[in-house]
Formats: sequence, C-alpha cells, structure tokens
Amino acid sequence: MAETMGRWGTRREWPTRTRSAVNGPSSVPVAGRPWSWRRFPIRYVGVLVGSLIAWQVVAVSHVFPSFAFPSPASTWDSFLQTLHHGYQGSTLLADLMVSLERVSIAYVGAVVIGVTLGFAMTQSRAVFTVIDPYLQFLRPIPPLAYIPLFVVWFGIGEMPKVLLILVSTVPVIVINTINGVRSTPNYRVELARNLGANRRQILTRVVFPSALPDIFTGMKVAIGVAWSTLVAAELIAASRGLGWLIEQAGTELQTGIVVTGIILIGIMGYLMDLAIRVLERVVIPWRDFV
Amino acid sequence: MALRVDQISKTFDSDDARRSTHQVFDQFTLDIADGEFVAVLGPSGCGKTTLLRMIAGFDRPDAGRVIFDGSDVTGPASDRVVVFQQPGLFPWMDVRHNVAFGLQLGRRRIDWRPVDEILATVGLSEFAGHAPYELSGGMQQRVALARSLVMRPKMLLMDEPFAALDAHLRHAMQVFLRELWVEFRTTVLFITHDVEEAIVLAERVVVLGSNPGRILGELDARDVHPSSADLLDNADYRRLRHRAIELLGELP
Repeated sequence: MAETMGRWGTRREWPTRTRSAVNGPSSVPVAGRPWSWRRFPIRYVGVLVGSLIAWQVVAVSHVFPSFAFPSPASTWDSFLQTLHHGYQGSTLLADLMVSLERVSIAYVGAVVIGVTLGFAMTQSRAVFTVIDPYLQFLRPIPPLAYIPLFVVWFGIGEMPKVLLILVSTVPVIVINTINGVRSTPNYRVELARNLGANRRQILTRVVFPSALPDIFTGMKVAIGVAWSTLVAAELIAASRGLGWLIEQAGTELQTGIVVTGIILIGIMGYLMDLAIRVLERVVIPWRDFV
Repeated sequence: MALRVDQISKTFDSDDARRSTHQVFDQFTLDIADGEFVAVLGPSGCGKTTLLRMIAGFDRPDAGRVIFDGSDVTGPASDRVVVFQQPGLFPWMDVRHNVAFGLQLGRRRIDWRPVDEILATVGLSEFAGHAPYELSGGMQQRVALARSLVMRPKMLLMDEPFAALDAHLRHAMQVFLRELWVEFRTTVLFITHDVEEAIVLAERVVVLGSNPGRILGELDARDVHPSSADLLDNADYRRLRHRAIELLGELP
C-alpha cells in the first residue's frame, strides 16, 4: 500500500514545475532502475548466508527434535531426494509444473475478469450496485472456507483448484482497477473531450492507460494472493503439486520435504513478481513520471 | 462576432456556512470579435476560469447564453480548444502522437503533414519521437499548443497557460504565442492574473472584478507587444499598467 500512497502523493505534482530548462530536453531520468548484477545489493547475500548459518546452528543445537526442525543440510538432502526420486509417485519437477500451471491459469483468468469487472463497475452504477456488496462480503472469507462447497459443485479435478485461486485473486484486481479508473486526472478526460473524443474513445484511449499503473499494483499484490491460496487449493484431493507435497509430507513428518516445498513456493512467487515488474517496465515506462 | 457571452448567470454551492450559494456571475455580458486577442485580467476567485469553462462548454450557465460562431454552446468541441496551465500531455504517447490525438479520433489513417508542420512551427520537429516527460516544461506547453492548433480551432481558450513557467521562459512563450497569433489570426481568449502578461499579449484587456464577476473596465493594448523594448521605458505600457492597477484597486 505504501507504494500506492507514494505514487498518489507524486501524481498531484506537475513534473513541469520542477524543471526549468529553456532549450533542449531536461536530462532524461531512467525509468525505475535497470537491473544488473553490479547493482544487486550484496547485503541481501549477507542476509541469506546469515540466515542459513543461524538455521544450521539452531538445528544442530537440538533445542528442537530433528524431525520437527530439519537442518539446512538435511533439507537440501530432502530436496535432492525428491528431485531425483520424487515423492509418493510424483516428481518434484512435476509438482512444480502442475502448481505453476494452476496458479498461472487462475492468475491470468483473474486479471482478465478483474479488470473487466472493475471497468464495468465504474461505468455502470447498476453493475457497481450489484457487484460491490458481494465483493465486500466475500473479501474477508478465507479461501479454505469454500473448499467443501467447491468439491460438491465441481468435483475433485483441476476445476475447483483453479477456481479457488481465481475467486480469491479477483477482488484485489477489481479494487485496484476501480482505483485506477477513479484516479484518472480530470484534465485528461476534459482535454480528450475538448479534442472531440466520445465516451468510448475516452475510455479506451485515456482512462484505460491512466488506470494501468494501479492495475499493475493490483497484479503485483495478486500474485502473492494466488500462490498463498495454492496450498488451500491443493488440499482438494490433489495427487500432485507443491501444496499437496507440503500437506502430504507434513502428515508423514517429512519436515525436510515440507520446508523444500515452502521455499519453492516462495521462489516461484518471487520469480513471477519479478516477471510482472519487467512487464510493467515495458508496458508503462512512464509510471514514475506522472 | 466570433463569441457572444449573453447575460449569463452562474451560481455555485458555497463552502461558506453563512452563505449557502456563491453567485459568480449575474447577467454578465462579453463580446469577442473574429480574430481578436482578448485577455481577461482579474484576481483569483473572480470567476475568470468559470467563464472560460462555460465558453469551452465544460460548464453550463444557469441563465443566459454563450453563442459561438452563430450557435449556442452546448458542450466542448474542437473548434474551441482549451490550453490549461498544465500541458496535460499523455505520457504513453510520443510527442507526435500527442499532437495527432484529436486528428486520429475515429480515423484509421490520417494525413501526418499538418502534424509535422505544426511541430515545425513550434520548433519541436526533432523531438517528435520523444516521450512528453523527456521535455522541459516550456517544450511540453508548446506541444500542448501544437495539439490544439493542429485542430485548426476557430478560437483558443487559454487558462493561465504560462503561470507555471519561470519568468524567462514565460517571456519567451509570450513572444512565441504573439507570433503564432499574428500568423494564424485565431481568436484568442487569454486568462491571467498577471497585469504585464495581459497588456503585452492582448489587443484588448478586460479587467474583471468579483462578487459577482463584472467588467471593471477595458484597456486598448494594441500598441504594446511582448517584443516591445524595455517595458519600463515604454510610456504606453506604463499608462496601461497604471490604469489596470487603478481598476483592480476598486475591488471591495
């Protein structure tokens, strides 16, 4: 949220006021910061190494029994074991891929549905009146609560799992889309009207691009929501997937495999977040200047 | 007559608890001839922006009529183009597409020649492919002007377009606008609270008072231009400036 607030804070300022170059363009600031190894903050490597050392120290001190608190070394062993031989008939790569597929399908669906719904809600009071109460009502309900219903309705295939992730991800996209549409500066709309744009042209050529920064904010939050719903989704009679792996290994006290699954979900979420940031930089390089 | 503002009244709901409404205009009348450059000079809060918005068609008067080019103004149109204080360029388009925005509406293909010509006129040909935020404030305002001029409007409505620029750049833009006007002879209504700006730019300066908005007096400023030599030595300028300040001083 801090990011949104920060941008709102700068949005009201006019970049032109701070620049006073008379002839020639002002020095062109670079959109965001291009990622490079040289810029990679070495302190994060320090944090990672430090955490691993602390983890190992706590593990070998036997404060906790080793079956409950696996050491980094034994987690690594579990990782290699699962990678090469699989776990209960499913390889680690297959678990990873099936989870990635579920999250990706649900995520793309949620973005398409969420942006469409968000726009519809801003353009029609009737649509807003019908949808908004459901949105507010459904938001505080944890995804786990839907599982029994979804199993009854959609069985135990891929459908209920994908739908569960989708249902929990749509609201954050809708809310950010509405935010984006509503924060479209009025002068942009008036200028477009003045130059002869009709309602539809204003919507597609002015309001939609103006809403993109907020839509991307929603998309970045949503990727976290999608992955965190995954474990719940894969509780639904799954026989593969990272969520299933964690759940299954947990019942057998295979904590090394549990930790492996947790770390992999974290890495996948981080990578997808990174991918969206790259996409954002390509689609709206102007984000930081408005 | 290019524009006739005929006995308009406009009332806003006031934030002031003692008065529930605020009368901005009461039977206000103003005529502007074809090709005339008129400046409306007044303190903030006198309703000059409201006047411009009603002429542009963004707001409607409660009573009275705004007649432009022989017909009533019912909404914004590209024959009366507004240039605001903020350039308001679309950051997702380069300079050339910003200028072409109005022309491209509803058309798949357009003739790019007028776009490139107008970019040359405002001296920004080499920045056609740049993003707006790569340009300085003055250059952005020139793009905004080009975007309006390319529509070949019958009238330019300018709401303190140079107020955000520093003094040096503001002067350069005034000279530039005056040259454009001499070339195109588009009718211009220019709103400002800056006495000097009103006098040097316009042929006719309308001094506005507030509560409700009314014309305190008019000045004939045809003899003073932005490019006039040192204004402080210019007798015409000193006389007009003195008169304007006198008129503004009559405010309650």
